[in-house]
Amino acid sequence: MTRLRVRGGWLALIVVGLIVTVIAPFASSAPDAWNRVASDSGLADSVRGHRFAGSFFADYGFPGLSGAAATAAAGCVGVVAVMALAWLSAVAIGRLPQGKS
Amino acid sequence: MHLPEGVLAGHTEIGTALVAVGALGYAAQRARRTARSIDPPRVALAAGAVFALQMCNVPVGGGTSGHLLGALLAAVLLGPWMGIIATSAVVGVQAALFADGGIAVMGSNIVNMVLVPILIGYPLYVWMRDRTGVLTTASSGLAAAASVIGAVLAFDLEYVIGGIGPKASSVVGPMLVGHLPVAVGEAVITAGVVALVALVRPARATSPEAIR
Repeated sequence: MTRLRVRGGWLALIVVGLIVTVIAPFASSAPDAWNRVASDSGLADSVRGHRFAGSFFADYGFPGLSGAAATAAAGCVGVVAVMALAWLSAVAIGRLPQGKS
Repeated sequence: MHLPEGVLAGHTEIGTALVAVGALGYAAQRARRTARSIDPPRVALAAGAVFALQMCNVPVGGGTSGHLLGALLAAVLLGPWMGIIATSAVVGVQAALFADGGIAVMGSNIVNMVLVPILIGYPLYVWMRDRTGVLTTASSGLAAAASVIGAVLAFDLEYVIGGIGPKASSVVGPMLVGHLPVAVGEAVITAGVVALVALVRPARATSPEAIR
C-alpha cells in the first residue's frame, strides 16, 4: 500500500518535471486572453512595471541562460518553490488545533 | 489572467487583499477540520502540477494564447479548502519569483484565480457528480469551464469598482468573450487530468467533501 502510494507520487513528480522541461519551453508566447483584451482596449497603458521585474527569474528567465533552457530551468525552480510552499502550508495546517468537526 | 500593477485602484487592491487573507485563514481552518488526513506530499504535488500546467500556453486563435487556471483541478484532487491553499501558493510564487502578477494586486489575483473559481466551480462539480449522474470527469470539466467564467466576472466586477484606464464598457465585455476559448481549454485539460488520476489512483480523483 505504502509502496504503491510512494510510486504514484514519484510518477506524478516525473510527469510534472517533464511538463516544465519539455513542454513549457515550447509554449505559445502569444499574449494570453487577458493581455490581449488589455492591449486591444487600451488598458495595457495603465500597467505599471512589476517591482521585481529585474529579479533573477523575472518572466520565467534564468540568469545566464536564454530561450528554452532558461524557461526549463526557471520552471524547475518554480516547481521546487511552489511544492516547498505548499508542503510547508500543509504541515502548518496539520498542526492547527482540530476543533470540533 | 494574472493582473499586473496599475490596473486597479488602491482601495480595490486593499479590499481584495483583506478578503484573500481572511479567506485563506478560514480555508486553513476548514482544511484542518474536514480533511480525513493531511498529506503534505500530495498537496505539494498538486500545487506543483498546477504551476507546471500554467506555464504551458497554447494558442487559442487570433494571436492569443491561453493556459490552465487549475484552481478547480486542485479542488477536485485535494478538496476545496486545501485546493485554495495549494493554488494560492502557486499565485504567490508566480508573483514573488517570476514577476507574473503584481504584488500589491496579489489579493485580487487570489480572489479571481483561486477563491471565486473554487467557490463557484467546486459546489457545481459536486452537484453534477452526485445529483445528475454525470461522470466525475465530465463534471470536473464542466465545472472547470464555469470556474474560468467566474474568474473573469470577478475581475470585471473589480474593474467596474476600481478600474484604472479605459471605461469599463470597453473592457468588461471583451474580457468575458475573450476567455470563452480558455474556458473550453480548461474543461478539456481538467477532465483529462482527472481521468488520468482516476486511472492511476481512483480514490484520489473523487474527493467526497462538499462545501458546507
